[in-house]
Amino acid sequence: MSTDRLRDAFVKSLELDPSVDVTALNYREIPEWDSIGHMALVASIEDAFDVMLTTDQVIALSSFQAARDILKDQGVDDI
Amino acid sequence: MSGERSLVPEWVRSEVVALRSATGQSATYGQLRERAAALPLPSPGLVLVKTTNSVDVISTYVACFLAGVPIALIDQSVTDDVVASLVETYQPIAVVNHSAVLHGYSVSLESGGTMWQHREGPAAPTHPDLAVMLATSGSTGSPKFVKLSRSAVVSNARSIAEGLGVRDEHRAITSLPFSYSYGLSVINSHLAVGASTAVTDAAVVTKDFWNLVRNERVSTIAGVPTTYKMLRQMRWDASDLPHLEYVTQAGGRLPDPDRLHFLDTLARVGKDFVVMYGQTEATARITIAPTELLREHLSTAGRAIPGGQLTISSEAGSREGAVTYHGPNVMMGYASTAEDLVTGDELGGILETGDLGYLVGEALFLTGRSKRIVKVFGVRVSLDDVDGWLQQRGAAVAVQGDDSIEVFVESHDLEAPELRRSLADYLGIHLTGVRVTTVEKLPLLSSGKVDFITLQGWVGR
Repeated sequence: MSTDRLRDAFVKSLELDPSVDVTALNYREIPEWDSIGHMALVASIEDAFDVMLTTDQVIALSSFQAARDILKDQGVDDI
Repeated sequence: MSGERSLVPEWVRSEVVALRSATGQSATYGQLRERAAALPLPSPGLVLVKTTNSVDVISTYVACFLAGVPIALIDQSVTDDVVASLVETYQPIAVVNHSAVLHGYSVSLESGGTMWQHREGPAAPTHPDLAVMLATSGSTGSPKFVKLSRSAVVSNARSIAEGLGVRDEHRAITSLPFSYSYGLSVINSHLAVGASTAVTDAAVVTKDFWNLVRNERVSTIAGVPTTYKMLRQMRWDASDLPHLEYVTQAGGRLPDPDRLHFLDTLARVGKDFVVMYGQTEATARITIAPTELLREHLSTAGRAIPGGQLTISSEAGSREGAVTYHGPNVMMGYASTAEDLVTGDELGGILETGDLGYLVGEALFLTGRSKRIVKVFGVRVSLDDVDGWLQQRGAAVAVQGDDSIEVFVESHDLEAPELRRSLADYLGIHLTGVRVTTVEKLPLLSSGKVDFITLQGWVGR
């Protein structure tokens, strides 16, 4: 399913257990999503969806939902 | 730089804001001075502070400093067990901002909501010059601290401010933890000229950080290599920040291509990129490489800060050598026991940095770590110094082991276990940090000098 691509990016880059509900995650709510984890997540999303996030988008990416919105803004339909 | 003066100059007006957070908490210079006059400390001793980048905790640090109360700063990630161990070792008169109640301490909640724990009974005595203690780099688990005198802290704050041209209308931001020497020096160098510091614990990847930078009109941001890697990955272009004037990079080596990237990125918007180098053992920063110097020598660590001097001691015919720093900001020494708290200055303003390098004019270039300066359990040890100590006791030399000092003893008159114990005591490290091996004869080069390379190969055999 298409939503899995973003879920995968979160799970892989933040090194989470696949059972974690990433759709409810927010920056700094879990120890893995600190500033270092954040940049790993950004790299993973850029790779997975072949996009280049702007500085403002990197800063705005503070939750799974925010990530979805940003990808929509980037013109990605298949999240 | 002469003598000891107040961290905050007398002429700074009381109503000037010294610290302000995004949530509106603030402290003026007047409030800091009032707090210094009214600290809840009826008897002397060290104050141990677990740091948070908050106005209240930073104010506590400043108030203690202004009042002449020695403070040890530890990072908030330090575990309760380690805190308990530090308290047992150093016997502080108070512990601030630590929530696990300590045995032999009673709790109070001071203004600002920060928790204080007060020792029931006398604290360990401290040397009158001792002002700040900071953990040695990479040793949040070890109880070893760098001891800094009041004059070292004040002189480094002023030198950094002078070197960077910090003025009272400038604004810093706490982009680094203030338990870290570099982070602390950002605050100190701005206090030293009556400037303001925006307080946050947010990282550069957050909206909160940049909102504060904009709202507080921050003029400088300090970062370590990791910070700059993040900023580069974020494609930060320093645009739309009319009050930002320059950024500093210290705390490790940023590769030349990244340096060039930031020099160019910042130049495009009329701002400066400045590289600095230093270590906790010299309070914070000891060199400065402003934009102009970096354009000339991209990979330099900079020239010495005002009041400091760099010398290189190299073998004849060799360009690189051990980098020594001379200045009023050199530490007093290390502390690992309560007795160390009363020891005075041991270094006399001369610090073996442990780095190798060379000078081109005033510009320092670093080439690597000295093999004769090693770190054992987070403590810097000069093997040449150890050799000097050993040779007073017989034919013995030391080389680096695996997180240990390996001593090779020639004479059978020197009892290995006794020597081991004495040396560990002398260095102030645990016994397991020293290993002694007796050998028939020390290997020599044809010059008659000890063959350290062969000895290094004998380690572990």
